[in-house]
Amino acid sequence: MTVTADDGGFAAWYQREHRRLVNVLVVMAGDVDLGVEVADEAFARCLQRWDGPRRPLDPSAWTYRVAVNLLRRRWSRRRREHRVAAVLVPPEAVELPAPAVELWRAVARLPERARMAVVLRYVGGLTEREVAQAMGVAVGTAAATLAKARRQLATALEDPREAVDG
Amino acid sequence: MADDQDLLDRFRPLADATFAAPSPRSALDARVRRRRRRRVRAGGAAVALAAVGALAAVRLAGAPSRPDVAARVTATTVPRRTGGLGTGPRLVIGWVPEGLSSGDCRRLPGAVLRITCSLDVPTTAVPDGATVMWMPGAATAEVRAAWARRDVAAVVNPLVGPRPGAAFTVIDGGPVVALGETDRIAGGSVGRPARVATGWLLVAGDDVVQVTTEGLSTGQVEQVVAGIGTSPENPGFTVPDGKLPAGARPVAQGPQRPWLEPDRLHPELSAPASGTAYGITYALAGSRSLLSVTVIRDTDATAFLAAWSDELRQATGSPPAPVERRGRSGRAYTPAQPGDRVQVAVAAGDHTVILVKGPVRDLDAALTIAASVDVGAH
Repeated sequence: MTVTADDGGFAAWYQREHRRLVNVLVVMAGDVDLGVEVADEAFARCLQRWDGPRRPLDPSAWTYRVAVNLLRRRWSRRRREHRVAAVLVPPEAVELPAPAVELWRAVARLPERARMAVVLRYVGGLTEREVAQAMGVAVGTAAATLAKARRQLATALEDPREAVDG
Repeated sequence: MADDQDLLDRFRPLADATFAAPSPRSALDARVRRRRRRRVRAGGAAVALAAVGALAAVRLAGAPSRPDVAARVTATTVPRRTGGLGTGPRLVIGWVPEGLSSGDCRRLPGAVLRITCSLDVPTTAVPDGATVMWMPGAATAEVRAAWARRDVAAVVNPLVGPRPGAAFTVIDGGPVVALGETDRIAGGSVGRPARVATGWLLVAGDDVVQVTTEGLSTGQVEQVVAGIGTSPENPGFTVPDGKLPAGARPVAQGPQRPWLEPDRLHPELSAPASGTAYGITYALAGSRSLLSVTVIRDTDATAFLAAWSDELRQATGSPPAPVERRGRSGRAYTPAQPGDRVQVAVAAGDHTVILVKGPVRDLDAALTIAASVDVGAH
């Protein structure tokens, strides 16, 4: 994930990173609009620092961290909305193969922390260390969260009717 | 299913999907400009002057400014008003990590102003959490100079005494002194694990902030420390100056995370209240008791008031009484014990609650404030 601050400037970095971060946030949020909005805000915050003294040493890691925190705060305001079944339905505008739809639904039913870990790892392709960085937890905690999340995901895929306990 | 590579393969369609095209650079630039304008507007001219003063003080000391935490945390609270905000420095706790609740602030005894605010882990019976102490004016010229040259002993010794393990570190781009272990309570003969407190020290202009944490994750500690500031920020609501007690001075502010505790004997049943909250705490002339005003938005006001009343009834043994003023109705608790604080909660519409605590035993003053807070259109 590391991109050095001198590697190609903001535009090149933004083009490279955009799809991955948006996909992570969209699947994490279960909401395309919210995911895109949070991604844009996180990229804008990075851009704001890009030419200044507080430019992040690792812009990707920094932006993931900011995005995850932004999403958490939005979630806290929209938690009730996200409990409704609507989040279990992938957007009609995006064509996904059936197994991916099944995964989308299973991920949406995971507890928040597990969902974050799973999406960062398997949609974002982040390493455990990078997942820990993005979630603001220790590496060991991220590893344990991922291990538990894999089990919860397996349960969710086996029985899509049941909620997955945190 | 549990195989890591298998999952990477199965998630590939979601990783490769195109949910949205990149926004044009001009859109990002516009977003940055909006953010900057919001920040400029946040404090109005007076607050901007205070911020410039604080920044100048920090620059005098040669230290980088604190990270842009306030803007991050309050991004959803569009700054509009500055009434009742004052212009002087105060403790800003800009980030309450998930899993923590905002506790009360209090003024320490003594002639010198010292304010502590707590962030608690509400779901456990042990006192895990963070205590943040603001010491305005405690950074002497010598301390500021030592901070600028990263001389840890010269910063730490005059403030908290010699700490052999103390060291400068960087959290979210800002310098912080990690004091290391500051306290340890042995587990005792029953084999409980020892409880260890760790400390952090920040110098911002003339002020010093000390953070002590216990039982928090590294991420939670970093969020608390990174969120500390001393420059005023706009809370998004107005407390009319004329309604505040004479001489009231803001000493702490920030977004809050109130939790509701349905059963005192079972803290694990506690849960964060829905919505977002922001609070300001005032010191009052001639009193050690603090006055706090908190606005909770995007919540179910009726449900919040019911839960809050029930919690207070459990804690005090008597239900808070119904109150109404200027069309705002709610509940109020008048303490039977001297030293306890009046608490008033009123609804401002269906989704906003105003919570006022203190001053001591003065229900009328608290109710007047609660009825006059301008929460605006949100």
